[in-house]
Amino acid sequence: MESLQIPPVDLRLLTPLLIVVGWAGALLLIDVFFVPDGRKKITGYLAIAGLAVAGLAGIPLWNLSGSTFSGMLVLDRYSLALTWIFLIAGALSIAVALDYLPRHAIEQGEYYPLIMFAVGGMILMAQSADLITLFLGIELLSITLYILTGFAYPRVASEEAGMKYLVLGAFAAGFFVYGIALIFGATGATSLAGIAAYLGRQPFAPQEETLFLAGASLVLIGFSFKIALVPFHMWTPDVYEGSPTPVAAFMSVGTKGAALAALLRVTLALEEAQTFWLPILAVLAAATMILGNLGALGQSNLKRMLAYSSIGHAGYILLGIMVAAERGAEAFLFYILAYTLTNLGAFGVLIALEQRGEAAWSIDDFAGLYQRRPLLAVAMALFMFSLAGVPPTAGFMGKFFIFTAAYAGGLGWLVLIGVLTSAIAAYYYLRVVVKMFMQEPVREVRPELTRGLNTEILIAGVATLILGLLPTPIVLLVERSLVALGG
Amino acid sequence: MVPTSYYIMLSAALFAIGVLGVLIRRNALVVFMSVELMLNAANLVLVAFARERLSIDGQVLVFFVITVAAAEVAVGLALLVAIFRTKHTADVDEVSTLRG
Amino acid sequence: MEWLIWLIPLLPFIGFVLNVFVIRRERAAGLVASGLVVASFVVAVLAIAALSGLPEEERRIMSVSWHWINTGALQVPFGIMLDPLTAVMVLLVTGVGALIHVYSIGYMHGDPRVVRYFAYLNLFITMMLFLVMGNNMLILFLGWEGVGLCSFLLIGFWFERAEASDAAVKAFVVNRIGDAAFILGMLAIYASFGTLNFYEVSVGGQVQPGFLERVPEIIGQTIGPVWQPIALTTAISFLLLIGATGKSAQFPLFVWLPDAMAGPTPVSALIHAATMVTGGVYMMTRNEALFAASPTTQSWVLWIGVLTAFIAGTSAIAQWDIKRVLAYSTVSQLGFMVAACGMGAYVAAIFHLLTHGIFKALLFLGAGSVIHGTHETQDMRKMGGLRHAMPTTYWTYLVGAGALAGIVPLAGFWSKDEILAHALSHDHWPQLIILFLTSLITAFYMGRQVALIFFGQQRDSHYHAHESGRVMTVPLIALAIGAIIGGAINLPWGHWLTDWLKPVLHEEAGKFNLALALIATAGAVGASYLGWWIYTRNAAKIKVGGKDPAYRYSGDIWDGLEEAWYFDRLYRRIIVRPFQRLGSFLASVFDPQGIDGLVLGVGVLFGQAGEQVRRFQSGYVRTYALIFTAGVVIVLGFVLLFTR
Repeated sequence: MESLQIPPVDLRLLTPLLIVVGWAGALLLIDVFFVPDGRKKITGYLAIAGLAVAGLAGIPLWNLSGSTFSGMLVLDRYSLALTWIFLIAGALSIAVALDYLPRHAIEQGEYYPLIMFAVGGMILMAQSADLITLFLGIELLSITLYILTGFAYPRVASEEAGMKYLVLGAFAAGFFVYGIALIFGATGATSLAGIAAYLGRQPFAPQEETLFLAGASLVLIGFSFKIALVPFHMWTPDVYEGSPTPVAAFMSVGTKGAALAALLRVTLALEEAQTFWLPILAVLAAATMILGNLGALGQSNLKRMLAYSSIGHAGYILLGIMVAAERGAEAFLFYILAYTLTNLGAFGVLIALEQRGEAAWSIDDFAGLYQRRPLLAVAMALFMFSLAGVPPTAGFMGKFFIFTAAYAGGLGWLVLIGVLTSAIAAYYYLRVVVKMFMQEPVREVRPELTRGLNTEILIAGVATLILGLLPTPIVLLVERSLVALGG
Repeated sequence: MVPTSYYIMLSAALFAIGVLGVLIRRNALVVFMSVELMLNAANLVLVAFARERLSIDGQVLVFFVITVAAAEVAVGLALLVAIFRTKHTADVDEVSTLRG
Repeated sequence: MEWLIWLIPLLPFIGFVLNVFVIRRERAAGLVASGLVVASFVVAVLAIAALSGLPEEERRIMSVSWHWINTGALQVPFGIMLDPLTAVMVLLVTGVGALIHVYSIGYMHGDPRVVRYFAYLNLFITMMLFLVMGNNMLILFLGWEGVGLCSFLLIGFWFERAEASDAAVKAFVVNRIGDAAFILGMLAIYASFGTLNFYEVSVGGQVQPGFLERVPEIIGQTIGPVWQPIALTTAISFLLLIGATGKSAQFPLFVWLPDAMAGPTPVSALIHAATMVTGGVYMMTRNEALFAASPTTQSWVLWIGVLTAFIAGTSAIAQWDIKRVLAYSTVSQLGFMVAACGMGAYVAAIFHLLTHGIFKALLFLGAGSVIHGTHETQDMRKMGGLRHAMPTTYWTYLVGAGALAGIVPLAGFWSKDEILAHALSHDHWPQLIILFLTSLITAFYMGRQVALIFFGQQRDSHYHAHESGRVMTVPLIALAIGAIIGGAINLPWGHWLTDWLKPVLHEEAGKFNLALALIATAGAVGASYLGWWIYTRNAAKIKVGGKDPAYRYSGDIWDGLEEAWYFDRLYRRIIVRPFQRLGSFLASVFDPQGIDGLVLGVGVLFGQAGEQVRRFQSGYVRTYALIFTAGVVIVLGFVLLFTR
């Protein structure tokens, strides 16, 4: 066996990650020792500040790229762009939680550092170029999310959601690790570069090929669980419904985005194995688009509806990943950004409607919202149209990019399914709009708008419109960020 | 020296037992143990291959997996205690109010 | 100076913004909304005057404000244009739109949500202008979806009535089917040509090509599976056709339009008669080069138009609701336009679109005036004899009905005749016969409607009928004048419109056929007289719950001398009863159970599929794990067995 060597380490490349994780660790202590009960908002503000600092620290890295820890972690513009998306998602999720937690009497200071740890996990996933660090990132993210899901103790639904998520998450992690082990056995490497090098040496022994294929399938299944692809999506609706709404919002955009980002890096690095990935991904994407949208059709609980809708959207994003190798990944990144902002906005409105002690997630609670809160209703309508893909919103642009890329990339039949399912999807998004604009209130729901929430909805709404009307600057930024990936 | 394929077969069996345990057992504690079994099956493969390939990567991952498994179980037990306090049961089938 | 054409869509948009965020009072809302649309109309007139000053081949003003999408592969400018085709559409939209805005001030007076109403209406005008002015498919699609949204909001405007919000949802959902096809068509265009611009555009120094000029490049290419290749032009144009059937309410997607009458009547006039529903016809005319390249699609277009005209025409006979008659009639007339497109007579289609926009708006506004003057009565069985109480409405309605029936020299005669003449000169015999029959039916049901509303005695005395105020009658008179002289824009011996559209459509003026014109006129006069006569004679017997005179005859056949008339029996035997039967049969097959049922059935199917998906979500974590494991087995099996 080779002797242990300490590889050269360039911590500069990990600045945002280290700031987020370090700050989160420190914040845990600060919260316990210095922040008095009842004023835990301070912790929240400090957490947002930490995320902001991490974001700023990333700016000088834009022109830097490289890898460290023997190539296990890389920094490139792609990971940096994703880092910023994740930081925004994290900050917005904290902003909406600032008043949500005390209103529901579940205010604990740990909430904010936990979100930060989760963001750290996501950044780690985006920067991973090795299955080991990837696994670490996924688990860092997952374990914090298990806690956050069950955060609303003693609400049983929350605990139940946490339990379900944990059991299934650990189950999936088992498959994932086993997959890594088999790949390691076949190729003798865990780094993407090493595996790619092995794949380049075709042909390989049949036994090794079997090992590799089985292992890669299991890894893919692990990803599918995180992304919530059918049939590995079963946890999503229950977990979204049970968890505190800000956590659901964070999960819907965060986990999905991070897992998809990592999946993109893996598929691009292992381009040699494309003939193997593509058929499976195609079937998974088709099933996901169809079942996700069908599941959302009958939902009267808006949180569950958004959960199913997020499943459906994962299917669309998957199309972007499938053609990324030849058509570029701009469509994919743009969709993630558009979806993140829109969905956070929609959840923000949901949080505004949620009164203490009772869940106002029934679609009936939206009845007549336009009469009581016209601006809130208009914002929600905007988010719904964006999710449904109606121009000139971000969601439309995202779908348009994805579908054009996929169509030109030869995935005509998947585009057909995508367009048809998004036509179905329009129906359930529209129902919310109908309720808000065309019905009298069923019961008294007083939306509570606080500063954090206002800001969050405003940012999301404006961004949804701007991305729809002026997508070009963002696309250019995204394009530049993909240079490193060779996309 | 025992051939690597023996290890793989053993670990596949362990893994299958773990999967079946999750599918069949209703006690949350046993479910956690089954998940641990799955992770350890993976560890066994990693170590076996690391030995065969004379590469240290496998062993490194094993350490991480063990750590992660411990953290997972810690969180799981905390959740279990919380549920037990309100529902007085550790049966995973009893926690099924969220559905549809 | 090109940027000035941006004012045309932006002025109504300012009205929308003001009405949403600033204005709270009814009076201000109406004035601002109408004033801005009038201003937009004035700008449009000025711009078109400038346009006509240019040499014929340069008549295309483009203005690009920014790169909407600018990635390496895909470039779409956010740009609008004004060319002869767009110009006439813009005049129709802003002109009729302005009149309807003014009319709405009177019609919607006192409604608690009137500010919102004007906001929606302004937004609609903006979006409609984007639809007709866009210089690429994506802007057109923006307008396309935008008008759909406004239509949805306005159909459901009186949501207290359950049927209104149901109708709104139905309209949106049915339209989504068409929109999905439209999106696919757009993707196919992009994949084939690499651009979505209609014509060459220069943006910031770089020249982007337009796909309409490059259609010949793809002729001969095919897509689809090897065993069933489809010509690329056919695939694209067929997808666009499906899009048009949704928006322009064609068979089989027309089911939403009659229900859409649940909206306020000015909305029906503006959106569901004059402008939005003609969007599909406009889109096909604009993409004429694509359609012309595919004879297969063209014959589909022709037959869909003809079938729609006939089915909807017969359905209109059996209606009692004043607005539903007009709704079916609109579908039928749209069928005429689509059929004209299918024959390649795009000028005739646009000509009919324009005249129809005027006289159908007139009829709807007249119907609105009737509804208003009879305290929200819509059932024609409760009307009768209103010509004394509402003289202005009566006379203007008569003009509109005459124009729709095709009575010389009103506007509708000329445009319809051009379509029929084109069918004759190109030997589309079966289609010509059906269209001719349909025009007779049209004349008949308009005669029937005029008789039911304005002649005989008032059959329900619960209301005191009164004429509407000046703010409503002035638009009626203006539109009536348009319906009288509107045909002058393309008289057979002047064909000004054909010349005007020549730079876009390159069409020669059609031949005028005197014999056909005479027969058509005689038929129209005869059929409308027949309709009028039957329903005036039997006016007293018509009551709610009672049967249509055409059914009741057989029992009373010996009772009165009039009914025993040979002509009467002939009419009953040969014309009315078969058509009545057919009409009510078609109405019952196509409306509640048939196509409607099909469309709703698909919805139910999806709903049930959704239920199945939810049933798997049992709540038991072990079930989830089991499904997960099943997925693993499937994926592993698939990979290990098939991908090696």
